[in-house]
Amino acid sequence: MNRKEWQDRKGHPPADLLLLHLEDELDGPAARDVRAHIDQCGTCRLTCEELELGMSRFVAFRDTAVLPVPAPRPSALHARLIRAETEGAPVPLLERLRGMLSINTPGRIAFACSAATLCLVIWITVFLGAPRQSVYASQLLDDARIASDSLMAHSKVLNQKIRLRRGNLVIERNVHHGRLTPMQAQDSRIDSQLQQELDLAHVNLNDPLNAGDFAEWRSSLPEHADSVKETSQGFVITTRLDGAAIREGSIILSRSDWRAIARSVEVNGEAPIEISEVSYDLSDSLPSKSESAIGALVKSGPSSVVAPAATAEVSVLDLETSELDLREAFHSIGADVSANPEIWTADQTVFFHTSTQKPGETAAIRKAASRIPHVEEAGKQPARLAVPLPPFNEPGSYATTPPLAGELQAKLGDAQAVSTFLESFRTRSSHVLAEAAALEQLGKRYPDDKIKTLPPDLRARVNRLAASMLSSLQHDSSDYVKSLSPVLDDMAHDLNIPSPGDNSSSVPGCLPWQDNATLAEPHLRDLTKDVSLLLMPSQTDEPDPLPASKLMADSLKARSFLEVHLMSTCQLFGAS
Amino acid sequence: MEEQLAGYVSGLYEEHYAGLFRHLILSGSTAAEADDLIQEGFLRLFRHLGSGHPVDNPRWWLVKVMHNLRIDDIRKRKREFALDQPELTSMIEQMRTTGPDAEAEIIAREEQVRVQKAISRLAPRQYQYLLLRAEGLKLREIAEMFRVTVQTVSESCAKAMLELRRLGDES
Repeated sequence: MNRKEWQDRKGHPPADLLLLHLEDELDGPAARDVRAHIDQCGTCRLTCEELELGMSRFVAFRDTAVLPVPAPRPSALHARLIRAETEGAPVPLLERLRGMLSINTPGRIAFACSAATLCLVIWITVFLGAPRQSVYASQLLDDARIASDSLMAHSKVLNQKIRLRRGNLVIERNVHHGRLTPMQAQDSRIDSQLQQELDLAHVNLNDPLNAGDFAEWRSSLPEHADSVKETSQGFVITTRLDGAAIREGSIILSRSDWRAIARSVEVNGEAPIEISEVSYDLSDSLPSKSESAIGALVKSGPSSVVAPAATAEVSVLDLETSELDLREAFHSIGADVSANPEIWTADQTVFFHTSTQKPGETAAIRKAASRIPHVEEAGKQPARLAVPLPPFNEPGSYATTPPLAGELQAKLGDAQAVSTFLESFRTRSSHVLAEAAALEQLGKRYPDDKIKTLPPDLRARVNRLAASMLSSLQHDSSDYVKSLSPVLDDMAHDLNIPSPGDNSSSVPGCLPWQDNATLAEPHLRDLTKDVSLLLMPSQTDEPDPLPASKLMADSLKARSFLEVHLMSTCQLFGAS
Repeated sequence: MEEQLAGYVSGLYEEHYAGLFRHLILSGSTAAEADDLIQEGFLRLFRHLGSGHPVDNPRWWLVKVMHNLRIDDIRKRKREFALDQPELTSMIEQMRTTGPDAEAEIIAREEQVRVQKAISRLAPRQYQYLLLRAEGLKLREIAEMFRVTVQTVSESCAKAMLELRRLGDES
């Protein structure tokens, strides 16, 4: 099937011509000839079918490729479109003006035309541009609010050092946006008049750069004029109201993340109040005690998340969302692994219980949970709902003597090195087992059937959470196996135990992540148990311990399975 | 009027975001690049529509515009060869796949693994052509985008399709 043979009419049309025919991209005699040939040729009809099948295979594969797709940000795009509109609108007009001026008319007519056009531009800017600026300002403030909500949804706190200046008065303080904030002491330098002006402008000294407060102040004005200016730093929104005590307020939103970085308040007959950010950082942690934390906890700003009233009806979706929020929050602080949390839903509430004994971790867990609606800490999960974790190395009745303890010391050199190695083994093994157990629990909570019933955004979040947990497990398991391998390989060599070889054919290619989680845990457990029996005094239920060669062979098999299966193969994620 | 148009374009953005994001990631863009390209693509669509030019199929229009933007970006960053040498294999390895339901699940997964392997053997250009063809673009349009002849695209695609058909069965 080559083009020359086809041109000489000695063979079949080449596949690319058949494809062009299928795509209806041939015309004239070429189209007619190919069609006539195909009508009479079974081989070419088969080739056409194969081309179509090949393409449909590709399309099917593309359509099933599930990649973590972030949520679209229509409001950000909308803001950009409005911005483009406000920036772009004058251009054709200016071009038209330029065109008018270039007409070779007598000077006076040209001047009159240009003056008239200039008046038109001013009129359009003043009377039509103002509403656009107002829409744009609202959009920008809305984006700032979304960014602020997103910060809180990710359990982040924006810590800012701010400076307030009015005339000679300069006050600096640390403030925190995005969480329940300890109320700061009233500064004695702020007199009642200044406080009154700050109140009028909706400036809260515990979070004075809160864009939500600025938006609230702006909305409260009966009539106002907005302007938006872009600088290299960000967007400057200025709102004016003639004749009012506060005649102008402005806020600067950072270009990079929409956080407010400066604010000013112009008061009639007084020096302006200027508030600016000196420095900032993002954190998860509580503020240090050295900060002036006095009094009761108060909301830091209008957009803080508050749990709804207990009497409100809570939908199943709300509970699903809260539970997932909680799981994500625990994962972000590592409590999903270290604190062995149990999470369940009852009576329109998501309950959790953790086994952590560390005060710092308990505080972090409570803090994370406190931001999520419909979530409460419980003393203990009801027994009928509890899914107990299988115990690791449950002590048995028989003490064993580790058959390869001597070899380990000979290999590592001294008792101190052995102790360090075994300590590292214990730490790493406990951690990966806890990670595997956490992932397995997540898999049991969200089996494929369950995931399919979730709305797409929750589905994507479950997949992302699973992918993140799986990635940690893969990484840590890899480190764990690598730390054991030199010792295992040497000892296997001494014992003449062959490597189990490539067992990739014995494991399935891609499995759903839930299945991988279920498979990983017992293999990690087996490897850990076998290595423990080989190297450390242990307690077992078996009166006759397995021989070292058998334990070693089993260890190598479990390691090989983990290497091939858990760390190298692809994972399948639920339909999204 | 412009507000209405902005609303219309924002609606299209929400509707097509996931598909376009997936297309760009599969084309070799990073997530951040894909997000930027999509925003820029929709901004251009807004301007295009705003200047009175009709668009028959916004999705195709956007795919083409984003492809050109991507090439411009690659050229700007002097990554001339990036388009022809995407890290296809590693990308395919990272790709997450999912199978349909119920009893055909195992067979479907085996099929996915086979096709995945077959795709990883395609030349990068073949892969890019197929990706655009899978978006519904005509061979002629793909040829214009890559500034090659229709015959080149057609030959390349036909070869790739037959390989996918064959390798998908045997591997």
